[in-house]
Amino acid sequence: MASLQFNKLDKHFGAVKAVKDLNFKVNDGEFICLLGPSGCGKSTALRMIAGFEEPTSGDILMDGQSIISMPPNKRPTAMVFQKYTLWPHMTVFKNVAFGLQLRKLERKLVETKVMTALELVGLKGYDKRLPAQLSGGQQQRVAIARALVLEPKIMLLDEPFSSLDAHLRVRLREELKSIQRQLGITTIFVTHDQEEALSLADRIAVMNSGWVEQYDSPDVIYARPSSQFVAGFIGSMNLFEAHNEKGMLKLGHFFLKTNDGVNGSEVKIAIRPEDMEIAESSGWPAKVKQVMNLGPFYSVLLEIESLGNLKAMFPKTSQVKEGDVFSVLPNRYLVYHDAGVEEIRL
Amino acid sequence: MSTSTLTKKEQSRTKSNWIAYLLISAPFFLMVLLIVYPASLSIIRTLRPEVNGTRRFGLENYLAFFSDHTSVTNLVFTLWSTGAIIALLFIICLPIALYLRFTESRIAHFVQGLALFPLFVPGIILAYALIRFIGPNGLLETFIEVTTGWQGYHTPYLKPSGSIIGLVWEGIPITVLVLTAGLAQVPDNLIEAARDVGAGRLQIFFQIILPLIGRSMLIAFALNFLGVIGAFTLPYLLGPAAPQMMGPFMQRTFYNVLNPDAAETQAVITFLLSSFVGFLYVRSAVRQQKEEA
Amino acid sequence: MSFLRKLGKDPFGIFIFIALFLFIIGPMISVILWAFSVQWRYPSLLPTQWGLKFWSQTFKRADILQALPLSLFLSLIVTLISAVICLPAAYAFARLKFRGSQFFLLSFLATNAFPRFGLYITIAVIFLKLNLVSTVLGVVLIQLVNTLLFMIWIPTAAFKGVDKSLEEAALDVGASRFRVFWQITLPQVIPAISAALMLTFVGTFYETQGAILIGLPGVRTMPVLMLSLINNQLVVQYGAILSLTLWIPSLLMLFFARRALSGKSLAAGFGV
Repeated sequence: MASLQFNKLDKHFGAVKAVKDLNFKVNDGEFICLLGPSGCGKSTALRMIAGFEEPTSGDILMDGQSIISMPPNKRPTAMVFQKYTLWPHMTVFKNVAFGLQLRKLERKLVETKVMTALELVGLKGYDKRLPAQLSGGQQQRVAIARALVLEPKIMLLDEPFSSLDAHLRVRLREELKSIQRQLGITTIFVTHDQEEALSLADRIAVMNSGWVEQYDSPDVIYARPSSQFVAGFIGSMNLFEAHNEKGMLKLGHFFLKTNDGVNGSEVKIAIRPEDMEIAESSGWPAKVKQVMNLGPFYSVLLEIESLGNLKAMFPKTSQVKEGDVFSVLPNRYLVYHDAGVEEIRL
Repeated sequence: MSTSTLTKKEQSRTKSNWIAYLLISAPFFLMVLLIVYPASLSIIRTLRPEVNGTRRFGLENYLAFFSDHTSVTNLVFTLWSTGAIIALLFIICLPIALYLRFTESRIAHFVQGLALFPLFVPGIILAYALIRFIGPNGLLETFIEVTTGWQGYHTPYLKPSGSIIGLVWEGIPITVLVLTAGLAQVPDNLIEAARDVGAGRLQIFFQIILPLIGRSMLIAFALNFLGVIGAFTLPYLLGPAAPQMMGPFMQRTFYNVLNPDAAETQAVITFLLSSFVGFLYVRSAVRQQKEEA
Repeated sequence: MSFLRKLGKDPFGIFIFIALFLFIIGPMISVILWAFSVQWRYPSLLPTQWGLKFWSQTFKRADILQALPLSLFLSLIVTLISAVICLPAAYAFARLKFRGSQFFLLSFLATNAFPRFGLYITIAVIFLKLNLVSTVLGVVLIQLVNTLLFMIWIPTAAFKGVDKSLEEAALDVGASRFRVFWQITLPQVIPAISAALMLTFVGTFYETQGAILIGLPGVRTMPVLMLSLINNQLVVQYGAILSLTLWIPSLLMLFFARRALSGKSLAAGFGV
C-alpha cells in the first residue's frame, strides 16, 4: 500500500502533448478513477505510473520516493489491461504464478498464493484451464488475480471491463470494489464510462485533452462540476446561454436570480434534469414532448418557449403525459462565468 | 418429394456446384498430373526394381543407394548443410524480426527493405554475384587486402560454406517475412503484462514470445528445410563437386550418368526425408486457413 | 543534425543495417562494377579500366540472341496458361459453394510440400518416356508447376476480399452475373491479380532448375545459358552484363509491385 504524487508531469509524443502538467495526490488505500473521453491522456498517465511510458518532464513519487527511473519490471505496481491480457499458451495457474516464479519463490508458497488469489476473484477450480476456455469476464478476473498475487503497492487498471457486456461489467465492478476494500490496496482505474467512475471511485480525476479538469469526490464532481466540460461529460445537463444584467440572469424570456460571485455579462447556466420541478403558474410554461419511463422515474423532454428543449426528471407520482402543459422551475443551478462557477439554490 | 420438384434455390445450388468443379478441374488435374502422379509413381517404381528383365517389389534400389559410399556421403552432407543453413537463418533473422517488431526507429524501414531485397534477386544472378564477391580475387578479398593488408583470405567458393552462404542469402527474406508476420500477431499487452510482473528481456523472449510465435517458427523452418533440400542452382554453382548436395547430385545422376532409376531413388529419398516436414508445413498452413475462415 | 542524433540512439539498428548491407548489397556491387569494366586486375579495389566495350559484344552473341526471345516467349506462354486455368478456379474457390472446396484449395499446397528438385526428377523420368525432354512443351509444363499456388491463392484471397453485398446490390438492380463480374468484381481484384501475374512471369523467366533438367539440350533459356556461361568462365564481363540485363524484369517488378505486393499477399503465396 502506498501513496502516489504527481509533480508537474508532462508527456509529449512528438508534437502531440498527451499529458499536460499533471499535479495531484493519491492517498494510501484510495480508489481513484481517471475519467475522460478517448485521447484525453488518461491511459498515458496510467502507463507512466506502470513505467511503460517515460515522462517528458516532471516526477512521480511513491511514498515520497521518485519512481520514474525504475524500469516497469522493478516497480511495485501491477497492471490489468483492457484486452489480450492473458498469455494464451499458459494455463490460468501459470498465468497467475508467472510473476511469483520469476521471483524464485518456493513452489509450495507459489501454489498457496495462486490458489488464494484465484479464490479471491471467484475462480477456484479453474486453475488448469487455458485462457481460450474462459469467458471474457473470467479472463479479466484472472488478470486481476495475476496483478494481486504479487501484492503490489498500487494496482493499475486500464479500462479492464470495457470489452464486456453491460450486465457483466456491473457485476465485476462490484466485485472489484469489494476486493479493493478488503485488501485496502491503492488503486487507479482508467475509464471513459462516467457511471463506472461514479460508482467505483473515492475520487475522480476528470481529464480532457491532457489536463485534469477536476479532481474531487464523485458527489462533488456530480453536484458541482468545476467546468463546462465536466458538466457536459458527467451525467445529463441542460446548458443555456444567459446575460448577466442588473443583478439578474436573463435566459430567453426568463430571469433567474444571481449572486455576488458571478462576474462578466455573458454566462452559461447548467441545470441537472433532476433539479427541475413542476412549479406554480409563476414558472416557465412548458409542453411535454416526450416521456420515457426509466423505472423509478420519468425522463421527460420539455419544450419551453424561447429556450427550446429541456430535459427533466420527474417522480412517478407526477403522472405526466405527452402533450401536457404546465410550469416548471429549477430548484438549483450552476452559473459558469469568466472567473469560475457558482451554485445557486432557489 | 420427387427430384423434379427441386426448389429453384436448390436447382441453382446444384448448378453452381457443377460449375465450380468445372472451374477448378483444370488446375487440379494439372497439379495431380505434375505432382501427385509423378511423385507417387516414383515411390512405387523405386520399390519395384527391374531384376533379370522383370519388375517386382524389392528394396534393391534403396540398398544400392545406401551401400554406395558417394550417395550416403552426399545425403549426410545435404542434411548437415540444411541444419547449418536453418540454424544460421534463425540466428540472423530472429534478431532482425524482433528489431522490426519492437523498434520505433526510422532505420527499421531500411533494414526491412534490405532484408526483403533478395526476393527480387533470382538465384542465377545471385550465384554469379557471389562468385564475384566472395570468390577468389573477388571484391571481398581485394577489399580486405587493400584496407587491412591481410592476405590470408580463403574463398568459400566451391566449398561447403559456398552453398551455405548462397542459400542463407536466398532464405533471409521469406524467413524474416514469416517471423515478422508471427511477431505482429503478438499483442503489445502480453509483453507489457510480462514486464509488469517482473520479467526481464530474456524471460519475455523465451517464456512469452517464443511460445507465441511457435507456428511461424515452424512454417519458417519447414519452408527453408524444403527449399534447401530441393535446391539445385546455388549448390550446383557455389558448392563443392564432392560431397554434393542432393540437388546437383540428382541432376548429375540423371543427366551426366544417364541413370534415371538411380536419380528417381535419390528423389524419393529426399521426399521421405522431408515428408514429415512437408506434413508439418501443410498442417500448420491448413490450421492458419481455418482460423482465418 | 537531429536525424544524426536519432541514429545515434539506435546502435543495434545501425549494426543490423551495416551488416545486412554488406552481405546483401556487397555481391550486387561487384556485379555492377564488373559490368562496366573493360579491365580489372587483381588486387585493384576498383576496375583498372572502365568502359562499355563488352556490352555490344555480349549482345552480338548468337546464343544470347536466341535465348532471350525464347525465355520471354516461354514466360509469356506459361503466365497466360496459368492465368487461364487458375483465375476461374480462384473465383470458384472464393465465391461458389461446393463440397470439398476447402480440401481442393489446400491441395495446391502440395506444390510446396515436396523438395522441388526431387519433384522435377520424378517428372523428368516420366517426360523422358513421353519424349517431352528437350521440347518447349515439356519446359512449359514443368514451369507451370511453380505457378499454381501463387496463381490460385493470391487471387482467391483477393476475390474473397470483395464485399459480397456490392455484387448482390448490382444483381438486385438487374445486372447479369457476367456483367456484375466484369464491372463490379474484376476492377477490385485487378491489383492483386496483376501482382500474381507479375510474380508468375518473373518467376518463370528466372526458373532454372526445371528448365535445365527438361529443356537441355534443345531448349536453352536465358538462366540456363547464364549457368553455362558461369561454369565455362569465358569473359567475366559477359556474365556480369547478362546478370544486369536479366535483372531488369525483377527490378521493374520491384518498382511496380511495391503497392500491389503488400507483405500479406506475398505471404499468401507461401501458404502462410
